Amino acid sequence: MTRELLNEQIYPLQLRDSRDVSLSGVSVIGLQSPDLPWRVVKEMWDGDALLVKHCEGTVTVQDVFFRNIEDGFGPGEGLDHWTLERAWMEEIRDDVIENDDLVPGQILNCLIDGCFVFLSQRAPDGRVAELTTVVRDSLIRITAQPHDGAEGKPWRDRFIVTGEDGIERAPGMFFKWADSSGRVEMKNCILHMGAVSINGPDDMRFPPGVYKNVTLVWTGKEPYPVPLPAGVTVTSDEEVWHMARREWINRLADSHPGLRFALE
Amino acid sequence: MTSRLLTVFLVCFTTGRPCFAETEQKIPPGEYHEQFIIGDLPEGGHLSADGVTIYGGNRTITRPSRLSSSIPPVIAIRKTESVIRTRISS
Repeated sequence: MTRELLNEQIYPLQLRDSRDVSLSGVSVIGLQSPDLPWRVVKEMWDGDALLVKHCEGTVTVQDVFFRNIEDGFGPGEGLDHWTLERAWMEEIRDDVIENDDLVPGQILNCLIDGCFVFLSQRAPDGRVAELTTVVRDSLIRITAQPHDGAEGKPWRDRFIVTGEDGIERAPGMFFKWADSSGRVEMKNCILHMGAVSINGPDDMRFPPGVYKNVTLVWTGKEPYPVPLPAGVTVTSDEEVWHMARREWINRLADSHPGLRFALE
Repeated sequence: MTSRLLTVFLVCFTTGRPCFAETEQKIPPGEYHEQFIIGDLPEGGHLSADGVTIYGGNRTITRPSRLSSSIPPVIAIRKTESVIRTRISS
C-alpha cells in the first residue's frame, strides 16, 4: 500500500496560490471504512479534508462539514492568520486542525465530535513560535477510535480497549503540543473525553494559555489524570455535552451543510 | 496522477466579468469524486460551495495481514465516477 495508489484521494480539497480569501459551504466525506485502525488510515490517507497551500494573508473557512478524513483543516505556511468558523467535523481520524506550520488562528463556534486529536500544533523541525491560537464558543469531543497499536511503543498498547464488537479502540488527545508551540486562549467551550489517551496521561495536558468558562466532561473511570489549568472545570454529567450539541445543531439547522449528513 | 486532478476555473459568479477583489464565486452544487484544487482566487474574494460534497478515500483495499483478525475487510462504498470538469460561469 502506498500513497501513490490513492493519489487524489489524500487531499480532497486544496486552496492555493491566493491571498485574503474565504471559503464556505463545502462538505468533504471520506468513504473508507470507519472501522479501519489508525495506522492503516494514516498510511493510506494521510491528508487534510481542506489543505491551504501557498496562500498569503488571511484565510477564512466557514460553514463546512468534514467526516471520516485523516485530518480536517490544514492551514499552511505563509499565511498571516486563519479563521475556522461554524465548522462541523466528525470522525476525523487524526488531527481536526493540523496547524503544524504554527500559523496564528482562531476556531470559533465549531462542533468537533468524535475525533482523535483536536489541535495539532507541533512543528516537525521543532522551531519556536510566539503564536496564540484562539478557541471560542466551541464543542470538542475526543472519542476512542479503532487503533492498531503504536508501532515501536508497545507500552502504549495498554491504553487500547477492546469493545463489544471486537474492535480495539483508543482515544487521542485534545492537544498535540510541544514546548515551542505557543499558547491557547480558550473561552466558552465544552470538551468531552472518556478514557486515557493512547499516548498516556502526559499527552492529556493542556497547553499554556488562558482558559475561561471551559467545561470538561470527563467520563473516565479514574479522575482526569493530569492537573487542569485555572478556568477549566470538570463534570461527569454527559448530558452537559449532549444538550450543548443539540443546541449547536438546532441553532444552525437551517443553513449548515452538515445537517444533511447528520440526518442520514 | 496529475492528469487526474480536477482544476476549477473560476470567473465571477455574480457578473461574469473578470474577477475583482471581494467578489463571490460559486462551485456548482453537486457531488464530486475527484480532487479539487482551487487556486489563484482574486484577492479578498469569497468562494461559495453551498451544496457541494467532495468524496475521498473511496478505494477498495484488502485487509493488511498484520491487522488483527477482528478488523473487517474494507468494502468500497462507492465507485469513483468519471472526472467532472466544470467551468463556473454566471
